Amino acid sequence: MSQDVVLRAQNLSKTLKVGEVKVEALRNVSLTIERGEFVGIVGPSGSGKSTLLGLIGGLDTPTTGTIEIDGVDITRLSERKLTRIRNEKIGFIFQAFNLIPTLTALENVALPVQFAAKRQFNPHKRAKELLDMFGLGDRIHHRPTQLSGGQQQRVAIARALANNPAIIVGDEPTGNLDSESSSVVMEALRNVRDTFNTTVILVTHDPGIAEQMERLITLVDGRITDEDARTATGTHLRVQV
Amino acid sequence: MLERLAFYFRHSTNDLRVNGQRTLFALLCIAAGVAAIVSLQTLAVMIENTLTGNLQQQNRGDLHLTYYYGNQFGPDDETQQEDVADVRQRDRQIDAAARDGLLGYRNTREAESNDRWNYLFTPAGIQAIQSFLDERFPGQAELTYTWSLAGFGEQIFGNAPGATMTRLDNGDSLAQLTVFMVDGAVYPYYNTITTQDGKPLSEVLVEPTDVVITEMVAENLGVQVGDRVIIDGATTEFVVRGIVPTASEIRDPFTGVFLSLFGYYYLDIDAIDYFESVNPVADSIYIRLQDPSLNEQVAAALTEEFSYLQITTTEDLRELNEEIATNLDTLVTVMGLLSMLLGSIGIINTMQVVVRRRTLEIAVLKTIGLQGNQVTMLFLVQAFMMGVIGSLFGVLLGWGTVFVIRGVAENLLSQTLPFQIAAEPVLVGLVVGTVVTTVFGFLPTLSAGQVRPGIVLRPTETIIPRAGCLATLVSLIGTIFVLSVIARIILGGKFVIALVAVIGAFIGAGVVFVLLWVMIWLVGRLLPSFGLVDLKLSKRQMLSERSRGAITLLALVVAVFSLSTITLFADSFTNLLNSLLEDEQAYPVIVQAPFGGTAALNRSLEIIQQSEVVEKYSVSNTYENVSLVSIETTTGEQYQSINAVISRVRQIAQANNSSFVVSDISQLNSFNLNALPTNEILEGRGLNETDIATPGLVLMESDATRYDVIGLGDQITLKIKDQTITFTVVGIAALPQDTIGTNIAFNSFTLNDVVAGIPPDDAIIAVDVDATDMGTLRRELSVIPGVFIFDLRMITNLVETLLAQFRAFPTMVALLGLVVGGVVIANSVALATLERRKQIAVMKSVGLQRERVLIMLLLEYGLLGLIGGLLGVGSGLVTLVVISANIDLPLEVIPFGAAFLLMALCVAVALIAASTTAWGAASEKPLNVLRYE
Repeated sequence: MSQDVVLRAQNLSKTLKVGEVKVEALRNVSLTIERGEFVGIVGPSGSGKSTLLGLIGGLDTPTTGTIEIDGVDITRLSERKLTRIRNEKIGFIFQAFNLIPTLTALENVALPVQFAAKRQFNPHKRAKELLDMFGLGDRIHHRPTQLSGGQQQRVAIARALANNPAIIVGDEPTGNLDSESSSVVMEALRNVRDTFNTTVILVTHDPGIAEQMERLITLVDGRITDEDARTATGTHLRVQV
Repeated sequence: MLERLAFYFRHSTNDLRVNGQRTLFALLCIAAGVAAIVSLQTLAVMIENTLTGNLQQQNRGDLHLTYYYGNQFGPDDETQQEDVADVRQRDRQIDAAARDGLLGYRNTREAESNDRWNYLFTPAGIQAIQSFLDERFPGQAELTYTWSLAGFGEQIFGNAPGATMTRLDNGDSLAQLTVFMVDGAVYPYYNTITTQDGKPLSEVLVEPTDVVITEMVAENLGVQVGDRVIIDGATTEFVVRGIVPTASEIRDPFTGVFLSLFGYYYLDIDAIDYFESVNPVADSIYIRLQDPSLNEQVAAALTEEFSYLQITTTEDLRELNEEIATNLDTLVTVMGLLSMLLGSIGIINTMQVVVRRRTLEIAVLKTIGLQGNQVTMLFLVQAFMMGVIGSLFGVLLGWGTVFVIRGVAENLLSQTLPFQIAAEPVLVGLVVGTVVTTVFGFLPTLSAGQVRPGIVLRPTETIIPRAGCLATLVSLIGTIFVLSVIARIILGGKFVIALVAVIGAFIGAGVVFVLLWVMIWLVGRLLPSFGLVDLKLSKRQMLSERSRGAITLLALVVAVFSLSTITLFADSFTNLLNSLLEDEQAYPVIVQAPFGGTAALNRSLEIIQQSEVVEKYSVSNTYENVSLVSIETTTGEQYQSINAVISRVRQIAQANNSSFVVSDISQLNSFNLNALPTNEILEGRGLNETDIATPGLVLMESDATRYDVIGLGDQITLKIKDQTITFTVVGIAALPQDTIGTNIAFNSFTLNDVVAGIPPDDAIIAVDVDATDMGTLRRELSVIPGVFIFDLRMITNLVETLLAQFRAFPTMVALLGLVVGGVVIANSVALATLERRKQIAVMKSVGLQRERVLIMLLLEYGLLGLIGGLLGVGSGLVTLVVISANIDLPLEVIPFGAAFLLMALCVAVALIAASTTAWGAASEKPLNVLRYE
């Protein structure tokens, strides 16, 4: 396996049970993403975007198939080890920001470091550095409710970066933001990729955001139906149908 | 690790602060439980300190001597031979002391009984004790004593000298009083009884006609210092010289209850001369020692010399009072722990909602690397913090509660309980509150650890996972173990007993939970909606959350069950008593002259005949030493003696292989035709006017009547005094089932007209007088010495007052439980409305007024309250009915009205508790919720 491959998914399928009905959310999906890629996943509602994002983020396990992150097969890991992978290798950002409402921006960002099994950073120092980096140095003691949407999402990005993960996965990270804030957030994510060579994988509905991605994966009915590699970055999208 | 712990605490603090209302109600649940523990335990400490403090003062001396004969029924079969020998030896000593005049009887009636049980100390006996002490412990001991006019029971039932005090100016009287005839100059040792105007007893109890009454007597009789009163059985008037606090003579909880309820007064020791029917004998001797450390030594010497003494030393009193205090402490601690457990239901509800409301947050925490056990720990810390804060709050609330409930305990013990802050209840409250909260918060937090992180991607699918069977079982076992340890530490005893009790409590709670669950389901399904949308929605809501509804109602049901059991039992008993009195009493007032003889009774009869307040009266005579002359049966048999009858009955009984009883006809009762006995007539008929010309007799049932040895129509010739009368048996009557009433026959009976002219050995005049005219009758009869008037209606009052007194404490504890139940409901409503904010907002956005939203919430919780009431009061009723079936209690006495009232109370508690939070929730602006929720 190439050292640059950060994520390899093979023959992923996921069957969900909705009430009495079984739904095949993903059908035999395979993909490989290399370090530093800026990838978008698009598709209509119910196409399996979020399911795919959940699987590659270690939030859920596939019904069949395997996923490797940084060379580690996470498919059959125990919940405990999977949690550790999420803490060390993956950062998450969400449409609704999902900051802990009772903690300040600094505390929110420091949290993943505090709970790391093998700590790489001083939690508060690291959190302050990251918040400074995202222009929130004067907001570190503010609680989420005291921040604007754009600011909250930047705090979320800082939190996602806290343990210097290999991948950042985002679920509609600009979905709750106005266009100006969206631009700021996307700019921040590009900077993250450029600065830390972190792979960024975003699910989006927004054509404007999709346009900014360097690679796009289109999902329909649980299958990858299209690929659009932006060769400007020299990366390649491999689709195995 | 410390850093993580600090995070848990910081995070929990913030969450508790941000979610103020939810926190407040959860804290209230804990606080209510802890307050119950702290208040009841503080009360127990206050009681213990009061009971075990000032022992010399309570004992009225270093030693308190009373006469003690031991087992009045003599040695039983199981008594060891050496014990029998001891008893015999003591009997001989008592007989010798009586012969020497050291022991004597109060009156001629007791003297005639010649029962060792009734002896008391004569003046010579008191002197003998003083002389012994002077000889063995020179200059060491002094003593004082109290004369006894009547036994304690006789005084309470009003049928004794000194038991009734009557105002001379208007005839108002107060019965059931106890008299303390003391030497005011020295009594009591180690204490000074002071009147309202600050005078000691020694200044106001100087002359034999002085009387000092308590505040309660003064208030109820309406007398003041200087007023003149007459006292039953005394030949003079007395002047009220002072009024003392009601607690002055209350020294122990048992007699204290009666003294404080019915009142008492002090007379000078020389006033004994005015009670002609009473001999001067003392029931108590109090000894003061110069050196109190000789206490045990003096007691041992006295016991050796006077075997009939029962000596209470201050040490004995301490042990006794400590035992009382310990038992009371155990009782209130169990009640407190129960309240805490009820309150902890609120914690389960709160933690469930906390976890449910924060599912997304938990998922986020897990996505960023928190392990399941770390999430569990986070919530456990929050439960712990709620426990600590709630318990602190509960301690303060508990102290406040003590002020409210102190009065009930003071009434129960008839003692003043000074407020004091004790460390142990506070410590127990804090530890129990915190541990129980944490333990009960554990199970919901286990679920928190199971939340899937994937929920962050689909926040609408926030279904709380179950903690898993194994985890639930382990947690349940852990909870039971921890609670058992707590119970064992606080209550003492064996761990196994505590464990069994806790398991029993859990099983009981489980059964009640299942019943409630089923009832909620049934009501939700079967109750028609009557076309009311509000009711329909309320029922749906109730059905969808029936588990929570059931667990919320647990506390209320337990409290209402306790309350209803106490109330219904007490009311049933009162009803039973009332019905018995209504059935049995022809006329409610009994006039007797046990010491005045026939002359006094005849004089009483004259006054009663002339009295304007007497509506009707009846005389019931008793003839003793009646001898059987002959019996001629309708079948031609003849019996010349009672032994002949007995022989015949024995023959038949032996043939039937059974034992037999023949009624004694050596006593005969006679009654007026207008007030015949109410005994059931088993055969023949009751007496009527034809039985005057041809003397009729109603026989009491016995094996002689059952075996037809004697029967209807038989001629029985009896010799009564010097007259011989032949009676015809006209009826067979059942033996009386009870002893209440003025016209129940215990012996075979005839009409007064038949035996007119033969002076009876004893007589009762039953008088029909309105309760308000009792004072007049007492005043009219007060001119005859030795006449006693007893109003049977007093029994009802007595029982009702006693029941009220004794039920007050458990009722108070049950009410505390009800408060806890109310708080748990308020908490549940707060949580439910919090969870339903979106639903409420949607309803309001489609046009529902907030009043309708409020009505729906109130309907839902009113229905739940009704279900709780049905189960709580219903199980109380079932218990009562089951017990009444076993003790032949008629169903009519069960107070169904009170049961309905208790159910209404249950609904009211639920509605009030629900209203405290529902109004705010109903007022929520829909846009705020729909946009930001």
